[in-house]
Amino acid sequence: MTVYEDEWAFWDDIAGKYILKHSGVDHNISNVIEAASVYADRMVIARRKRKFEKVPDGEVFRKSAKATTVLATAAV
Amino acid sequence: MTTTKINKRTFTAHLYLGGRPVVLNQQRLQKVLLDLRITQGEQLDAEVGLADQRISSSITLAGHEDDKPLVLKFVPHNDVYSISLVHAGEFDGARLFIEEETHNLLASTSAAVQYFSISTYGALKASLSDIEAGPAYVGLSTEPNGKPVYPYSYSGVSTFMNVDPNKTGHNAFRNKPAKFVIKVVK
Repeated sequence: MTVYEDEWAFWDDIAGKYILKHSGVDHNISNVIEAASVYADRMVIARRKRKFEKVPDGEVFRKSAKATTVLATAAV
Repeated sequence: MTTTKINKRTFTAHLYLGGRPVVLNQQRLQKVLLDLRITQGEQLDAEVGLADQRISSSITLAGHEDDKPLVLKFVPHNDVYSISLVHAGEFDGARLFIEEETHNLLASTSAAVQYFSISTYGALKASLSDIEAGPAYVGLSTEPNGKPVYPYSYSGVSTFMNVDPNKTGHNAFRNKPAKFVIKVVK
């Protein structure tokens, strides 16, 4: 499938996290990589089906905490 | 509690399930093809579905909450209804029916008339007076057997059946009948 330029970071994030969780010396590398790709592809497609809207007027912006943000805050 | 009422008025309404409008599969597939980031697989699936009368005629849920709901016309026959589509194109006036072999809810302009009853919390066989005040939760059952309509999702596509789609036979996996929200149009 075609992944567009504004989706690559999201694709990498999903695939990377899957590999981080499932890779190991006793695992079949090809299977893990293939599964990571399938998860990332499917999540990109699932994400496309969601509508993206700006925060409604009168509502505050609620920033989601990413793992990197949480780690950086904890390190200070 | 009212159990039986003689219905006299024809009305049109929209149905929703889980916040998504009930639509004809043809509507859903046409919408899929408008997506600029459609994958080759999704495009082929949609094209195959649109070319196939059986797949296009399936009653399903829209891909998104904002999509336009299907207008359904409820025509009373004593205490039950026949339900047809108000939808420009080849399915205009098509009636809802249950396909005998698959138990799927489809629309057809040629199938025999199938009757449905509408149930609410207050009435097992509800009429317009029970639901016209505002949006209401309703169940649909096929008549005369009184079998409720269940939602069933397969590969991300929703369908409806008048049998429990639980194929295991185990009580733990028993499904609940569809609880639609009905909004009367007129």
